[in-house]
Amino acid sequence: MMTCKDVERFLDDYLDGSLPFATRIRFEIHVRMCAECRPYIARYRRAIELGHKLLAEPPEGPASEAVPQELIDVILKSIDES
Amino acid sequence: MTGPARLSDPKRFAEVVKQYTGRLLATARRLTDSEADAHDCVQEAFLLAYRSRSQFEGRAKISSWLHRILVNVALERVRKRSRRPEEALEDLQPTFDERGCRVESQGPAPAEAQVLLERAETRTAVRDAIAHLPEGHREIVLIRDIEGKTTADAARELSITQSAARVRLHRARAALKRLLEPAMGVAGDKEDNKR
Ligand SMILES: [Zn+2]
Repeated sequence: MMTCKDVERFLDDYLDGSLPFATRIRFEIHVRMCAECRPYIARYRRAIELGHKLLAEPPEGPASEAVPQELIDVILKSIDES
Repeated sequence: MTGPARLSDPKRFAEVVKQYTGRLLATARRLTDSEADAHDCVQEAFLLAYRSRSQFEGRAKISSWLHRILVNVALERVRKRSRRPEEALEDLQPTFDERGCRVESQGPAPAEAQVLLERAETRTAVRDAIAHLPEGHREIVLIRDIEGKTTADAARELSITQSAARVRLHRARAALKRLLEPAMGVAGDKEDNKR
């Protein structure tokens, strides 16, 4: 039987989908039965998602926000002067 | 037109500025507390990009390269302005009892990330938590979790072994999980409340 400590050690590989099959099954059995690991993993995943959703490059698409021309002018001027 | 060719001369770079200012500004607005700060970040990012344009590798997309510079500028500003010290990751790691059983705060399942991020306080908490990770840990979170690259990529970029990269990533993620629990509605224990 895996311990919570083992689960911790395998967690990133589990999330990457790279755990060997037999290990993954043992991991999942532990998590299904463990009232401590389930909330832990839910929060661990959520923390990763929060960082990703806040900081990742937005998908390409038509720019929906108006770009202030003054800002572009200021940037071009500062580059000119640099 | 290839990437480097676009960036080598100032006229081409001006086109890049016109093309990408809108995208960078949208991101900067999510990461700063005022419109003026957002503008400053975008300006600083373009200036840095211009100065380091010879380092731009044609293999990456210009938008991704600029995005990374902008995120680093925004996080750097957060660090410079706050008196919050760098996080001691030691204190933020999960704890286990002598049988290897986890000691974890109870609480409701966290809401979806998208829902949590609708609150400005959550966006600030996430930004500040990542900004205050030790540099090497922050870098690996940015490469793995923000840019979505592999551990092998991260190890190469940071010139560390893959096993070192794995350890670093895990410690950083575990720390972020602890730091972001209040934003997820998980009540901390007494010791956490003193932080
Ligand atoms: Zn467990």
